[in-house]
Amino acid sequence: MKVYIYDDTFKGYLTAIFKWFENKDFEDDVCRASLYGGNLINRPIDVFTDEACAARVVKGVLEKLGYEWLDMIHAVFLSELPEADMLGARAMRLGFKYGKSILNDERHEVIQPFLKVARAVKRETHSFLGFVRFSKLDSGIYYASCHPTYNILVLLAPHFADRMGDQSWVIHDTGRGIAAFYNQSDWHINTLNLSEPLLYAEDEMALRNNWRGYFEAVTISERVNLKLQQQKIPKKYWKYFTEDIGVLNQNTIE
Amino acid sequence: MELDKKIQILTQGAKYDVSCSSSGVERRGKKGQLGSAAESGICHSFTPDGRCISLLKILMSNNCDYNCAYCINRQSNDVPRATFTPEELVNLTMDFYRRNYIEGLFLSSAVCNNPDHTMERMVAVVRLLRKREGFNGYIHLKGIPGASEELLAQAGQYADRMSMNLELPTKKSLKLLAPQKSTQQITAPMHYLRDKIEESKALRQQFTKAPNFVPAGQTTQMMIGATNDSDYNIMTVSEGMYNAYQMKRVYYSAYIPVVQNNSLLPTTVHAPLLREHRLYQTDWLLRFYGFKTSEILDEAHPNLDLEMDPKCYWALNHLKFFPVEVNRAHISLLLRVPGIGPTSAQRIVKGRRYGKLDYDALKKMGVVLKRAKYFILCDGKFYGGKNTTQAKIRHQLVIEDPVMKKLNPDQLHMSSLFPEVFSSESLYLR
Repeated sequence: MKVYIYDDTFKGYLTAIFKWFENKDFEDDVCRASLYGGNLINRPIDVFTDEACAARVVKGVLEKLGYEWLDMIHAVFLSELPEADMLGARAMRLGFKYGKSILNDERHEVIQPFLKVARAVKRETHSFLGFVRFSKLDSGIYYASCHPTYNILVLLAPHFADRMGDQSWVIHDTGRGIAAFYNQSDWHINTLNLSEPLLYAEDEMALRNNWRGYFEAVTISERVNLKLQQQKIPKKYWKYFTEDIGVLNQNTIE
Repeated sequence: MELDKKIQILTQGAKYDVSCSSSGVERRGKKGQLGSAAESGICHSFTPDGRCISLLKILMSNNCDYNCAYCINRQSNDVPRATFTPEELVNLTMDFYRRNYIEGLFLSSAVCNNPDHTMERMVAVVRLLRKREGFNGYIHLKGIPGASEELLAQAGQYADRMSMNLELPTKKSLKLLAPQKSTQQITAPMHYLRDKIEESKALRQQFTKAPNFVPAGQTTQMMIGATNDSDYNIMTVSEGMYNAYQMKRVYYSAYIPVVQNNSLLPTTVHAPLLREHRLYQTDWLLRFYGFKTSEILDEAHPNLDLEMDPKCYWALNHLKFFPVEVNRAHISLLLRVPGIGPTSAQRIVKGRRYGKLDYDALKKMGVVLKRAKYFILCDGKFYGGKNTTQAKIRHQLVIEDPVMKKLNPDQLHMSSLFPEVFSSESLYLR
């Protein structure tokens, strides 16, 4: 049994998928380098990213399955789960065989987990469109740190490039040590590890206080329901918020 | 006065407005400008009361000339007063937006001097935001009852959504609690907005560049529990709002009694938040499930059963339609099954083309089986056990109701504890 090992990029993944389809042995595995453990049975094959192969897969998916599929395959790839690579490959094979509407077969043993992962990634992306908090730095750049469960920076960046078009910003995924950079015209993703503490703009602290004040004042004390709040904002995200989540301020209770 | 203090005062005056949605309009950003709008809306935070923060919901001023009994900003109430300058509000909105704290602005105001003066000041703020700052984010503007049509027309050019508060469900209640407002004053602008919105939509079908007018539509809000209007009255009014004014949403806000000396208002209200919740559930049934108010409530049964959701209540009273076979039933019938929502109904209809659906398949599709199992057959099989009579199913549904489970005991009704003593009919509030 062969394992196609690629370089952790989406293009690499598509190239590996291309090889997988080409060889027609569907017992084989596709696996990203960072997750490959190796054992006695498997025969690892290194796949080198090939733009042409990747482009052919994209073309095939778009023509036969449509944009929604490509979007989902990408989302599943970004989940970085151990089973993600094979889920995408198997779902794609089913799609090519039975047509794109196979996605409606929700109880299928491959489609069901495929949809589940894709939906989870999209859900987290949507939450982060709201949960990202920028701070203005001394240099005028807006900086945000976050640590999403899935590697969703590439899905967040286009939204903020569109929305915050007139400001330079950085969204830092501190868990993965990468960041999206935007210079008021284009964005790109690169590694980022901060060595020095950040210097904030003069008015930054005052604005944060304004926001905290607003957050406290808008709470209706007769309706306090911390459990509901935690359900909406999972605890793992709390420390990246400007406002205090999960606590009742004295002013709120009065 | 310091900005912090103003924010505190004017937010506390605005927080009882329920709406915070930022949905209904999709607008890409513009090069070199700030802001965009997402069709689905985006929640940016959740306060300790579990409500979402999407917009900067704030008053222009809380210096009110009116004296509506239920309102914290009423003239006779002893609260600190403040007013924003347009400049302060514009800067605050821009600065918060740049940090991704908010999706836009929801501007409301107390009535200072007269409605026109108030509305003019509010329009000035949104004009500055749109024209001078090039702000493309979401703007929700509250209409002031009694403001002139010219001002509404101006406001509509800049706002994504506008709302006029109905305040109370009936004319009589309004007269009692908000004597300075009249029903006509509230419905006339709703009428005007609806006509203008339709006009602009029709124009935009012919000319893509025709100006937008309140593209995300209008909403309204009413207070419940402060007067003795029944659920039937309330839902009939809502239904009328949806049909006659094409409202995007009707919001309900439970009146929670606070210590005050006003003989017009009740001092105790039974389970206000639970009632509000049930009304919202009914509202959803109207909008997404194809129900009519008259199917759920009527003159003889004017109030909802607080112990279970209105869909269960309806299903229990119409057991003759059930159980339905999920592999064959039409989608409109699937939507009537408690535990099956629009999403899972769609999934069932699409999924059953690939083979018979069984119990596990439904589970994977997101059907809430602990409610649905009493009302469905999966490939001919019934999974509700021996619970086939109305009383038994009711008992199970009340036990399993997600809200009832969490409630504190004093909001619980005796009949859920001793189902055999009470009949299965809703005794509640009769």
